[in-house]
Amino acid sequence: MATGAQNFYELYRRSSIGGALTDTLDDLITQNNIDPQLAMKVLANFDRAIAEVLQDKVRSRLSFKGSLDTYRFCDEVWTFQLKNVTFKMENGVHAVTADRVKIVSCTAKPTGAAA
Amino acid sequence: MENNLPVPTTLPEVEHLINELYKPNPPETISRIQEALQRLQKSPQGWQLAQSLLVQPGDNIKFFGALTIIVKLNTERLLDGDALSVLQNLITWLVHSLSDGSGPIVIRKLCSALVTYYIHYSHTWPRCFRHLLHSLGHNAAMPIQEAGDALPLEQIIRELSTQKFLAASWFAAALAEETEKVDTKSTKYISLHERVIDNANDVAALMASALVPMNGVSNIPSQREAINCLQAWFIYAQRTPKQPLIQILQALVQPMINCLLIEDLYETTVELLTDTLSNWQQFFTRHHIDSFYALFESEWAQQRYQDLIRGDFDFDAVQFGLFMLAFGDAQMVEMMDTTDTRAQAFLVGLAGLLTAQGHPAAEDKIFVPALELWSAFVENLVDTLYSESTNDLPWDKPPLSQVMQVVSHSWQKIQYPSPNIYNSWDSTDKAGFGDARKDVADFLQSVYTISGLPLISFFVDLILRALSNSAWAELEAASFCLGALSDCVSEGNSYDDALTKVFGSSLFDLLRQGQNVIPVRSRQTCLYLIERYSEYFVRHAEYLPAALNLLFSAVADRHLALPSSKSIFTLCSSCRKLLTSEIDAFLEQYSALRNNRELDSLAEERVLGAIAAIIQSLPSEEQKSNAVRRLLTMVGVEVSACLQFKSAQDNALVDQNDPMVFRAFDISQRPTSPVLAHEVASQLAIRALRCLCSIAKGLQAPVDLDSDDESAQTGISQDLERIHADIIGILVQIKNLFSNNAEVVDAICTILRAGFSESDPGPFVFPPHIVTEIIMSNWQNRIATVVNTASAFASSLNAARFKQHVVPTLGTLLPWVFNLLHQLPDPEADPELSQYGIEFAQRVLLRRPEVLISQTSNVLEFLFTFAMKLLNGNEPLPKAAAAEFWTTFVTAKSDDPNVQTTLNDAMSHFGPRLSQSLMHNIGGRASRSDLDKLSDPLKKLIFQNVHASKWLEAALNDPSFPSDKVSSEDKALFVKKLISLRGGRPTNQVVRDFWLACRGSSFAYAS
Repeated sequence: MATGAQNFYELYRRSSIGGALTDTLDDLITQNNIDPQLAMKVLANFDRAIAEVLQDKVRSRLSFKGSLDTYRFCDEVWTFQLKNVTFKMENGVHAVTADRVKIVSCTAKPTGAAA
Repeated sequence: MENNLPVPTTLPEVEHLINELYKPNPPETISRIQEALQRLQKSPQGWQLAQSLLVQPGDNIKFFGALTIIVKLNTERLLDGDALSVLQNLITWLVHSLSDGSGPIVIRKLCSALVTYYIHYSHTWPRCFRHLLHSLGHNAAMPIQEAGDALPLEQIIRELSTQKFLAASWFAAALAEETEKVDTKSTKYISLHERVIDNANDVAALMASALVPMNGVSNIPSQREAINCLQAWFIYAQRTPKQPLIQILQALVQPMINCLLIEDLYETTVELLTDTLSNWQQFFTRHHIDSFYALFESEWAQQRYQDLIRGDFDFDAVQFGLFMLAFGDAQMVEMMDTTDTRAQAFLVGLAGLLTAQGHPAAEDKIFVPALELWSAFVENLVDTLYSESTNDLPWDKPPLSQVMQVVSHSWQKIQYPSPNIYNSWDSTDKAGFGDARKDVADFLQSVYTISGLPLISFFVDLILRALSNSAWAELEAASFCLGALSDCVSEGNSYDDALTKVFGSSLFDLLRQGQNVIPVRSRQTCLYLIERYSEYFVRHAEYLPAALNLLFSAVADRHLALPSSKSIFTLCSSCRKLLTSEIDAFLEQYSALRNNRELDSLAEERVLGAIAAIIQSLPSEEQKSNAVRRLLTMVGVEVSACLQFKSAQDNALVDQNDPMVFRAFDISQRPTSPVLAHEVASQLAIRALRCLCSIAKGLQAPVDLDSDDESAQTGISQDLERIHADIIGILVQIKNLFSNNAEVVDAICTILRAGFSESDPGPFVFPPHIVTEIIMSNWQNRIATVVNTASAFASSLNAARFKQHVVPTLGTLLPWVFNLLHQLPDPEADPELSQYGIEFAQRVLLRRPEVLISQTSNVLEFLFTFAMKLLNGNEPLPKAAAAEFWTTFVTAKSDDPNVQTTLNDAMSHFGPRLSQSLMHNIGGRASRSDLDKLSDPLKKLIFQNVHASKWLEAALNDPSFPSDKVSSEDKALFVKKLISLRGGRPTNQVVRDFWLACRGSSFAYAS
C-alpha cells in the first residue's frame, strides 16, 4: 500500500533503452494513440522502474582500472573522467578497453523536490 | 466510424449504457459504449446529465454522474457564481449519498469531484475542509461564509458519525494526493498550495480525534483511515516542505507510534513509519527518535524481534525487521558513536538480524535487506575512518567488533544446505540465495577497505579449520569469501604468506581425490579460488604444477569442467612465461583430454586458448610454429571428419555412439538415436572453427606487451606461410560447404579478426591479399557480418607493416562493397548490410579519400545518393552511420590537389542536398534520439563551409519543409543561432529546441 514519496532521476532517459522508449512514445503521440500526459506518466514510471531494476535485479558486476584524469563534485553529482581504462567483466575472459571514460554518479536517494 | 453507437438521447438509455459499461462485455463493446458516453459527457448537456444521474438509484449510475462532473470541471471554465452552485450541489449529493445507502465508490468519487473543484476554484472555497465538516455536521451544504475561525470545530468533529468521518478522511487524503501532483514551483499554483496548507490544521484536528480519542474509545476503521490519510499528507509535505505544515504533522507522530501496539493498526502504521524513515529522515524530531528507541527497547518490540530471529518470516514479522532497518538507516551517524550506548545497543540488534533462522532469500527474508544496511554502515564508517587516523583500529570494540560479528554471521549464513534441501527450492529461491552470496561478497569488499590483511587471515584460518574438520560446506563458504576478496588484493605480495597457508596446505591433494572426499560444489568453488588468485601463482611458481595438475584432472569431469577450464585459462595466460618449458606436456594433456567423451566444448576452447597463450610466449618462431602445427593437426581431425560426413548422402545416418558424434555434440545435447551425417558434419565444423577461434585469441599478444620494432617485421618465414595456408585451407573448405550457416560465418569472421589487431607476424595474421580474397569470396549467409569484418580489416591496415597494402586492398574491397549495396532493392531492405557498407565507405573516406574519389563517377553518384537515402530514412543504425559518413565527408581533406578539387566539387554538388536532408530531419522528421547524431554533420558543415548559412536557409524555406509550426522568423533565428555557435557543442541543444518547436508542444513532455 505504502508507496513512499521517493524521487527518481531522469538521467536514464538518455540511455539507449530510454531513448528507444521516448521515440516510441513520440510515434504514439504522432499517431494520436496516446496523449502527452500519458507519455509523461510512462516516462515517470520508467524513471522509477529502471532505478529499481538496476538496484534490485541487476546482479552483474565488473571492475575497471584506469588513470583518473579529472574529477569534480558539484550539486551532489560526482564526475570522473578516466583515461586508458580496462574493464574486467564478471564472466568475461577478455578485458575491454577504452581510451576515455566519463563516470557521472549521483546519490542513490535524490533529496528535495521532484526530480 | 459506422461502428460507433449513437449518443443516447433519454435518461433511461444513458442508464442502460452505463450499466452495460460496467458489465463483463467484450472489450470492443465496452470501448464503443465508452466512446458514446464520453461524447455525451463532453457535450453541453453534460452538466444536466450529471445532475440527473446523481439523483438516480444505483452506485454505477451515481459514480458515472460524479465522473461526469470531474470531466466537466477539468475541461470547462465556469464563472465563480456558477462554480459555487456546482460546489453546493456536490456537497448536497455527498451528504445525501451518506444517508441513502450509496456504496463507498460513490462517496469516494464525490470526494474526488470536490477535490477537482478545489484545484480549479480554490479561491472560492479557501477553508474547504472546515466547510465540508460543517456541512457534514448539518447534513446540508452550508454557506461558505460560516466556515470561519468561530466555528466550533472540535464539537463538530466529536459529533461526526464514523461514516462521515471516513468521507471527510477520503476527501482530505484525495486533497493531498491530487494537489501533490500539481506543480509546486509554478507561480500559477502558488496560491493553491498556500490554501491547501491553510487547511492542514483542520485536517490534523480530525486525524488527531481518531488517533487520540477524547473518550478513550478506539474506533479501528477511523484510526486506520486516519493513518492512510496521513500517508498522503506526509508525501505532500515532503514534496512541499513548508515548516508550518511539517510541524502540524510532526505533532501526530507520537499517536501514530502508539498505534503500532494495536494489532489491527500495526500493518498500516509500520508501513507508513518505515517509508517515512527511509525516505524522509529529517522529518523526525529528537523527541520522536527517543520514542522510537523506547519502543524498540519495549517488551512488545523484543517479542517481535525474537519471533523474527526464530524464523517467523510472516509479512508482519518481516515488516518489523524492515522497520528496524529503516530506523537504523536514520541513525547511521549515531551508531558510529561509541559513546552513544543506546545506539550501540540497537546496533547489536541489527547485527542479530543476520542470525535469523533459515537460508537467505529461500527462507530468511530479512538477511538481504539487513546486509544492505550493514554495507551502507561500513561505507559510512570508511568515510569517517579515512578522515581520521587509521592506525590501531579497535577491532575488539564497537562498532568495528560488530562489523566483524556481521562478517562472521554472513559467512555462516551463505553456506550451502545439503543437496536435498537445495534441490527442493524453486528457481527463484536458488537465484535469491545466489544473489545473497554476491551481496555478502560486496559487503566483504567494503569491510576489506578498513580491515585489510586481518580479513584475509580470517578466511584463511576458516579454510584451514574446515579442511582439518572435513567441514566441506564451511570450506566452500570460506573459499567463496576469500575468492571475493581477490580483486582487492590484486597488487603487491603482502598477502602471499597468508595465501600460502591455503595453497600450500593439503587442499590440492584432497581436491584431487574426487567427489567421494569433497562434494562437487566445494570443489567447484575451490577451483575458482585458484583462478581468482592467479597473480599469486605468478609470484609462486612452486605451486603452479600442483594447481595445474589438479585443474587438468578436473576438466574432464562435467561438473568441474567450467570452473577448472576457466582457471586453466587464467593461470596459463597470467603465467605464460613460466610455463613455456612445459608446452609439450600441455599439448599431450590436451591430446589425452580429446579422448574423453564428456569433454565440454567450452572447456576445450578455454584449454586451447590457455595453451595458445603459452605458445605466444615461446622464445623462438620455430617452437611456436611447431606447437601451433600440433594443435592444428588435432583440430584437423574434426575438419576431416566433417568433410567426410558432409560428403555422405543427404539422408545418411551416423550411429549415436560414433566417437565423432561425441565430439560434435556436448553431453546435454547428445542424440539418443542415429543422427543425420550432415547434421554431425555442421556441428563438427562449428566445433573446429570455435577451437580455431580460441587458438587465434590465445595467440594474441597481451595488451601490456610492447610490439617489437616495426622494421623487423617485413617478412614472414616459410613455416608461417605453410601454417597460413593450412588455416586458410580449413576456413575455405568449411566456408564453401557451410557458409549458409550463420554460426560458421560468424566464427570465420572472428578468426580473421583475431589477426587484425596484431602488430607482429603470427599464425593468424594473414597477408592482406589472402584476407581480401576470402572476404570477397562467395557467402550464402550473414554477408553484413563479412562487410563489417572488411571494415575492421580496412582500419587495421594502417599498421606500419601493411601500409603499402592499404591502397590496393581498399581499391579491391571498395567496388565489392558497393556492388553488394547496389544489389539491394532499397537502402533499408537490409539495414545491417547498409549500415556496415556505409561504415566501410566512411573509413575509407577518413583514411584514404583518394581511394574513394578514384572510383568512377557513376559509383560515386550511387554511394552519395545511397548515403543520402539512409540519412533521410527511418532505420536508426544506418541513419547514424550515414550521419557519420557525411560528417567525415564534410571534413575530408587531401594533400593531392586533384583529389581536393574533386572533394570540393562533390561538396558543392551535395552540400545543398545534405543541408536539406539535415533540416528536414531536424524539422521534425527524425526521431528524438537521432538528433545528437544528426547534429554532428551540421556542426561540421557550419564550421567548414562558407555556403552553409545560405544552404540551410534555402532548405528551411523550401516548400517541402515538414513542419508548419515554425514561422520564417523562427527559421531565420535558428540559422542565426547555428552560425553564431560555429559548430560548438551547444548546437545540440539548439537543434533539440528547434526540433521540438517543429514537432509542437505535444512533444515537450520529455525533458
